[in-house]
Amino acid sequence: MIEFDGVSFWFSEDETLIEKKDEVLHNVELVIPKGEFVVLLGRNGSGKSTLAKHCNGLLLPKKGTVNVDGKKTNQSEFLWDIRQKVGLVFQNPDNQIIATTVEEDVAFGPENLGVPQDEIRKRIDQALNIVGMNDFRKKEPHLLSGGQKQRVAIAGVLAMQPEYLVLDEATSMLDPEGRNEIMSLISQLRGSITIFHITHYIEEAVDADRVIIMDQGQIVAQGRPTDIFNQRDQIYEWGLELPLVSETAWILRSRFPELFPSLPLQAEELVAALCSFV
Amino acid sequence: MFIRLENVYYSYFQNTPFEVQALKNVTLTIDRGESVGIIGRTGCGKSTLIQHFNALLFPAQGSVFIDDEKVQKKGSRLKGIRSKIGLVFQYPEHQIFEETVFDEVAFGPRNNGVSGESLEVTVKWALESVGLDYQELNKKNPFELSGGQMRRVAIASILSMRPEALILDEPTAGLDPEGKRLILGKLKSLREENGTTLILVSHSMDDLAMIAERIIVMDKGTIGLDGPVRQIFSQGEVIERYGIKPPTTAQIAELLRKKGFDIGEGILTAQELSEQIEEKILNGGCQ
Amino acid sequence: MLGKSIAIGQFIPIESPIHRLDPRVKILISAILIVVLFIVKEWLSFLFIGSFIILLTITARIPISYIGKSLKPILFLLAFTLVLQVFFTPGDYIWEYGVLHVSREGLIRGLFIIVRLCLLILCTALLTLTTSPVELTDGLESLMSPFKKWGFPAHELAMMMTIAIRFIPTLMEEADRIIKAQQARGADFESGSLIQRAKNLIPLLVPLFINSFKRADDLAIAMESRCYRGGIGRSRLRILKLRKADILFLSITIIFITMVIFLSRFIW
Repeated sequence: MIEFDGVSFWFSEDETLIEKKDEVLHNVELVIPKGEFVVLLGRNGSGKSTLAKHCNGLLLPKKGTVNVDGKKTNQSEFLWDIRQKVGLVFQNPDNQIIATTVEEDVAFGPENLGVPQDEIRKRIDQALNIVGMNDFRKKEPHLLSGGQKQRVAIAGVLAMQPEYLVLDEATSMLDPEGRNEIMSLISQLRGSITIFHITHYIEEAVDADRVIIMDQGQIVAQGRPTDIFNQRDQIYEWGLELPLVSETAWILRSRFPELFPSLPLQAEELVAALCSFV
Repeated sequence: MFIRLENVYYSYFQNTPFEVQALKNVTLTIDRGESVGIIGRTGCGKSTLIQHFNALLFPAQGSVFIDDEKVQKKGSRLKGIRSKIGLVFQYPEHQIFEETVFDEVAFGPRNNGVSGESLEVTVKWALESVGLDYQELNKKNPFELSGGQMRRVAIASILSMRPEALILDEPTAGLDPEGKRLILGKLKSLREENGTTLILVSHSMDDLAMIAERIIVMDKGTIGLDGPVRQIFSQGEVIERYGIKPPTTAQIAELLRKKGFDIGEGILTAQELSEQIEEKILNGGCQ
Repeated sequence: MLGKSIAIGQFIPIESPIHRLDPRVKILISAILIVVLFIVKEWLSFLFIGSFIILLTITARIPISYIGKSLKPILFLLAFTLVLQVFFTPGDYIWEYGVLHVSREGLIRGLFIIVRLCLLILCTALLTLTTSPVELTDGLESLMSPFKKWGFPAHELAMMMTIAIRFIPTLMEEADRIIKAQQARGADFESGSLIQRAKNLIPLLVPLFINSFKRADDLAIAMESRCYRGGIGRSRLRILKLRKADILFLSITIIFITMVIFLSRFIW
């Protein structure tokens, strides 16, 4: 598991915190258990990306520790192990692909790990198959769509055989088609790898095992999607909004309190609940 | 008629082996004061189309008329057109280059010869129209602002030219729900207070529901659908054929209708939907 | 939209004996030819070398039109060089018009330099037309590796080249977008004096630079996340191996060039 133990963080040269408001993360306590699909939601500026970068030691906590399967990120002898175990995919699809062809880029990670040549080839084949980009092996990255680029980025990470996949707002810059591609891929991958998906699109949290909400550098809510969505007014205060289905249900529930004991997340659930109510 | 396109064709890399036809026989008219949403899958020609509205691109065949005057490729009229019809590209914060917010927003009007006090007035107005505080921000370095603020500065830098029409290509791309609500709200106010014609390109019908009164659906360089928003919102199946996800309200309404709920067509928001459902619950229901 | 028309480099992926050659051999052959072009001083040498290059081009199955296209960008440079040599070289004047004189020496020298320039371009065009960017950087890295002992950053340079090549189309598209966005605000990139036009480039260059720095930052973070720590301990997907054909081509080139230099020095 990935564990955040009392993590606080601020950007400054030294260890002293100048002003309370400069604190980007405040006393974060968080556990991402192995095998789960966890979604982190929060408005822009809530500290989500900063938190993501703590998962693989790109940033180190000023207070507290981040442990990956017992190894602390601030112990330099474990850093590269942790980075192999925890794969990070970032927001900008273009700024993660460095090579001139898809194949070369997916090879980058295994090459860095010193994986033997024939094994690299196998891993590339496997990774590209999983993300469905096998036909694009020799393609140049600038000819790909946003969704395709992100799939290549994910393949590049999968080729390193990580145990955790952290998606740092990986869908924020994609069009709906691209976002669908990534969410399908996540559905496919869940179970075989621990997925920590960070986003501000609440619809993407609907299938999660657990939803965590951040605001102003702190964790403000944690729980199952339906439980979280029930806190509708606070969700708006936290800078987010309910999916249309749940919002409709919430409005109806204020008129008919017995309707929707648990807030529906999908259209089908809404319709079924309505039919049985009437 | 404000903006009119007649039988417009456009290709990129014309007369080369790489030629790509982006617009095919497009005819459309946009009147002053309208609020139009343009939607279509990536590659359908939306971006190419809007660049014809402010004379950044010129048709290979066909004509473009602004206020009944034909747009000519070269000439002194171009600057005037581009001031009258403002275009905000996607991720407009990527075009910021000045050292202060003031200079950035002043760039456009300065190019039009505006200076001195009238320049100050117009920059102040533009910043306030997007919900930014002039006193607080005008001397700040735009690169020190948050992403959402930078975007609003960029939009203000087009507004400062006092365009009569504002075209925005995916103005909410990359913004969180709060940021999205803010920008769409400000655009609505702009139209209500100044009569600015709004043309928004988007990938999301749900977003357009908040602001558009007319929807144009584009497909492979042609216009697939064009009509009032409620009419288009009732055509869920047709929209799907164009590769666009129908609005969520339409999807829910369709499912309800299949179960015997006689829900009306052309619903735009959760509020409207819940009201209709409430009515049906009280008066009838499921079969 | 602009970037979509540009393949990275000018590489044309067709089957030919030249395409199949090891990139290191192709780089060495190009380097040798370029050096020789600067050493020789006779028209006859040019004829021999030129024929050799044309022979390689035919073997590479490159359409002649592509050769023409690679010369197009430097047409202005060629004309400028010719004018410079023709009008400013002293010697027997064969034509006069007021202050301008054309000398025989100037004409000959001018043509000589132009032909040399053309042959140089053809040489490098041949290299880039038959070698993919991946092969080029692999080849260069391999050739530079022996110098790592003396602290030469071969791997780092090759990595920089790869990234630079990868981003050329992306940066061109971005430049295009920025130009359009600024034009929509009344920016004018076309008219005005030279100084004016230079100033007018600021709204293009500043955002381009700033975005490039951001890209570089993001890339560095992404690379570190994928365990990049420089060249130590890295394995490779592709390992270059010399074959008989490679040694053959290289030997033929060396023998031929030696012959030309010999003839040039002692016979012609």
